[in-house]
Amino acid sequence: MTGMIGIVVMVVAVVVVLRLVLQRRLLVKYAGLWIAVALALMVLAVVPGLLPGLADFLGFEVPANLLFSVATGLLLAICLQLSFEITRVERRLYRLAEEVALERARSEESVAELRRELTAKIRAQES
Amino acid sequence: MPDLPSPDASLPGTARAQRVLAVLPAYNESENIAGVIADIRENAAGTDVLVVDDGSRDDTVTIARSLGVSVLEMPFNVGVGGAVRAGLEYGRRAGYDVVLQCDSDGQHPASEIGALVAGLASADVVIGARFAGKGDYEMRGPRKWAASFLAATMSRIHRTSLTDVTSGFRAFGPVAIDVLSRQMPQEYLGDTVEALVISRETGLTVRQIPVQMRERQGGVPSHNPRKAAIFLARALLIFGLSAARLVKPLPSRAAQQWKDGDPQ
Repeated sequence: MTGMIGIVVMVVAVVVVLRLVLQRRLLVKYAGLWIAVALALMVLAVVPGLLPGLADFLGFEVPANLLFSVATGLLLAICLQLSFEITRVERRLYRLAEEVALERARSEESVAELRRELTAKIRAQES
Repeated sequence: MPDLPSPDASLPGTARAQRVLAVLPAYNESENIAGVIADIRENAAGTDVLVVDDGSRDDTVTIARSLGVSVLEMPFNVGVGGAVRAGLEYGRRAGYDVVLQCDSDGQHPASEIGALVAGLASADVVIGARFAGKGDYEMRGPRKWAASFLAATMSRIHRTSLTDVTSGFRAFGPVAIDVLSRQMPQEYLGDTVEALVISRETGLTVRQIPVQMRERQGGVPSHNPRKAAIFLARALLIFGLSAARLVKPLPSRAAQQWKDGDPQ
């Protein structure tokens, strides 16, 4: 059954995601949607009659199509989440670049000023 | 990487004085920061102060600098975990023996700092907990159950009574400074529950001592019910996953990364 294969794949994906979270290589907020996908699909697969009944009610020709639609919708949501996070990261990265540039300028100006003061003091002592 | 210049304050009267740094993560605390710094200078003399400004939009930084304390200015808001981690790294590079974490809103009395530092004689991390039963707000229903569940499970994994899991009044000894300056999670409120789990994984001993705390003195707390709900859901998820690992251990990268020196 194609539905079963899809569910097995989702379960494997979720196990991988959970392992990554436990190893702290994945932030918990990213795991959330993956777990939601797995739960949704497992509920549909496990509750007898739910999938065909819901598919019929919503007008799907084949129950498996509902399964795939739900999975696709949730995967799109995951993509959207990633796009949102990347936008945020990019903004912060540019902000950091500005900070680095400003810090460099500040350091160089401080050194230049110290040099000037030191030179002035030495000249004053020599005269 | 050159070390930061060593601050010159140290506890008088001892041969090799213990150097203590109080890290104050601050977000828009211009009302309270001066009072907190004064409290530390008066009641915990000899403690150096580092204010970690987490992208405040008010005068927090100006006020702190005018009082002569060290200041770290984050270029944007990174959350308490990120701010404390920066403070821990600052403390590590400057060679502090003890790093304290204190709120910048006046809830943590400096008079309790001595007790926290003393607790480090037998632990790597000492948490100052509100007296059991003396909460400044009542938790009800699901929040209370979740908080109790968290406290119970954190207590079990650390084999000691931990009742105030979200307390931001903590002391870190040298080993904890070394570990958590790299491992402290930066996600919202990850600096509490997840930090405790990481402590367990990296073998840090954690203890709790009861401390008196005050009501928030002024300004606006950075909590709201929605964030609190998200926190609890995340905490339960993290805890659930961690419990699974404690039952059937998964190779953790946390400890390995610490040994390899990788940043989190």
